[in-house]
Amino acid sequence: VSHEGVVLRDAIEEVLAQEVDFALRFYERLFERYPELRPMFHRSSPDAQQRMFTQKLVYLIDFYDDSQRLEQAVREVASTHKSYNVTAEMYGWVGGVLLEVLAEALGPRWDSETASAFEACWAKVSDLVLQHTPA
Amino acid sequence: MADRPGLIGEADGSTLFLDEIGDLPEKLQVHLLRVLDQDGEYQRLGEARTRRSSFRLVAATNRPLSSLKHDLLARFVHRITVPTLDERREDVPLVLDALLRRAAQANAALRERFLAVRHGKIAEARVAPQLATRLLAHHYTHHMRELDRLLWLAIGTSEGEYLTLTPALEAELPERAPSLPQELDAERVTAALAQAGGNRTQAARILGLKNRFALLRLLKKFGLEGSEEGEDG
Repeated sequence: VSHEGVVLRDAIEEVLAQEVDFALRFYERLFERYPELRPMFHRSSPDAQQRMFTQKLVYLIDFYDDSQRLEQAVREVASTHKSYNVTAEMYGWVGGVLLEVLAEALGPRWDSETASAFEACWAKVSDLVLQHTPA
Repeated sequence: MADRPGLIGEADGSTLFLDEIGDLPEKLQVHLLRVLDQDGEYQRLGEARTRRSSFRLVAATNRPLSSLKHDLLARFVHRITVPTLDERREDVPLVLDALLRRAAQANAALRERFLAVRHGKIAEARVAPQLATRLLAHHYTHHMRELDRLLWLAIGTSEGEYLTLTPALEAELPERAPSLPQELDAERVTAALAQAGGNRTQAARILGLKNRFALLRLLKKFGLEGSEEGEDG
């Protein structure tokens, strides 16, 4: 496992161990900032959506260094996102909110190393999704 | 003859739950109705003495309500219709999680492999995104039992710590186009309702939704729950 992978995993475990529901906080902030995204999430109930979000995030971090697994996971996501007309710009919005909520959750533990690791992770995942999005 | 109180006698002072009441033969439905109509009076088999049991009756069925005698049906004051799993596919991740937790209660190996634990508490299930997406899009014809079977297939064929989309599952869960290709906003939903004269089933069809339950959730999401409802089909 790369050093970046370890940093990501330690940080996400710390966030998910907190009493406050991270996924709930993430979606609240996302819809507050970008209300136009809300209709895209109606295929799942909010509880299910939050659970799936956490599962996917943990999976992507667990297999951050396993490009084959990462690509398999992303391919399926890309195909779903295409049907929802998700644009490249939206990955920036979601990534921005994700980093912001992570930073708040980690407080003083959100140092430059952790921030860089998550920025690189989000860039890697969103680039992969865009690469695999059907034309 | 052994002294057996029977279900109705046992339920005295509590609740009698009759599962699959729709399968109850008509003759037994008549007996049950008689007990209800006579304030809980009943006779044990082979006994002349009349007894009384005070109980609350709760029943469930997956058959059409027409399978019950109409006067027995009328005795059920509160009715709850639970949509099939296919009608509420958006709940699949939650149901899957619950099924896995239940299976893991009696199986420590399952718990350790497929459920993340934080501070001694079970957190999320470890499900690979490919599998989660396919399960969400799957058309369920055998309801909860089908999801339970797919879960056990995933448990049996996955390697490592994640439930994954194994070849065995891929054969059962072919890739499907998501059922909702278009974005829906409050304006489109309102317009569809107007077009359907308030009929939510028709409005759901116009919007390309799976069913009216999907529309109800949208109405809730957009704060349109109070939208006037017409004659529903």
